[in-house]
Amino acid sequence: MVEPNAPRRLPALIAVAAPAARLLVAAVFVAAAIPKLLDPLAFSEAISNYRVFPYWSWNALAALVPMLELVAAAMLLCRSTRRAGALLLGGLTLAFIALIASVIVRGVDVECGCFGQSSAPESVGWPLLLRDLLLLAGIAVASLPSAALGADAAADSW
Amino acid sequence: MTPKNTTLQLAVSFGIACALAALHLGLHPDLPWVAQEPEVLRACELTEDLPGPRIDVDRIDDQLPLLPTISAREALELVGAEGITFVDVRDLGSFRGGHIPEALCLPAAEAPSLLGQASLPIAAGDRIITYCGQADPSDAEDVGLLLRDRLQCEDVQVLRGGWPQWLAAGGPSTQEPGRG
Repeated sequence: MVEPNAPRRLPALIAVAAPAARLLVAAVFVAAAIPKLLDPLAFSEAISNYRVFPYWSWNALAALVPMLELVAAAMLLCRSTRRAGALLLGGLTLAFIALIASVIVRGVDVECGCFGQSSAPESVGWPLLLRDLLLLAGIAVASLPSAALGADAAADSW
Repeated sequence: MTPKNTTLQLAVSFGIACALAALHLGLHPDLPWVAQEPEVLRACELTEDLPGPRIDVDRIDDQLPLLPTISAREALELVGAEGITFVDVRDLGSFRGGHIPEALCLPAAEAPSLLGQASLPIAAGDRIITYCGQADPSDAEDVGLLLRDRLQCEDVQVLRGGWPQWLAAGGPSTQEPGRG
């Protein structure tokens, strides 16, 4: 007979996946934020190319978005702020997905600007949408507490 | 972790990100929080009754970009260069209020008739960059298409973000008379 309060044991693979996902997701967002911060003008131009936001918001968004990415990535790696970090990153990713979808619907050919100007130009389209959906799934996994997945307390420090 | 704590953390993190963003923009004086608003946002519209090839503006909006574009940062390096002509398609009042140095004033509403004259200081081999007063580049594209088709100018580009983005990028502005 199973005790009602017995801790639920999930496969060890998932217990490993949560901290790995946290590292991976945080690395992706940090890698995305740094080039934008180094060249905010280029990112401002990338934002303007989407033709969604009013011109007066381009510069503010060009500074705010990478800062949010950095702060949220740091929060995701800290146990006490993990949930809020995951929510913030999830919200950002959902916003990116909505933006990509609007570009696809409008049939506009724009460059992503996701990783600033340092990366190779990448057009917004279905592959990018799929990538962001995978990123969203990664954030969901990363938000899971390791302890609840059956790992020990040491593992939860990630 | 209670939902209340999470909400508080979200609010605090957003505030921190805003403060850091303000600090970051403070390090870039050429990139103000709010880009300078152009004097006239909607100054130029093509008159459909004028002679010349008809341009279906709806089709342009659906299939942008019809002309290659250039960023404000790239265009900044071309100011004063030989064989480069900036074409300001805003109305004359906006042009007098400030424009790119040495730019040619060619308001979109008058472009079809002005292009019928032979006095425009644009050589066929010039590289032309058109810009308008708003982020929507449709007017600049309209005039760019006219220049390409009527004057046989092959190298015509549109400034992305127009005049607002030019100012936001720290581009120079002058009130001196332009080229035309």
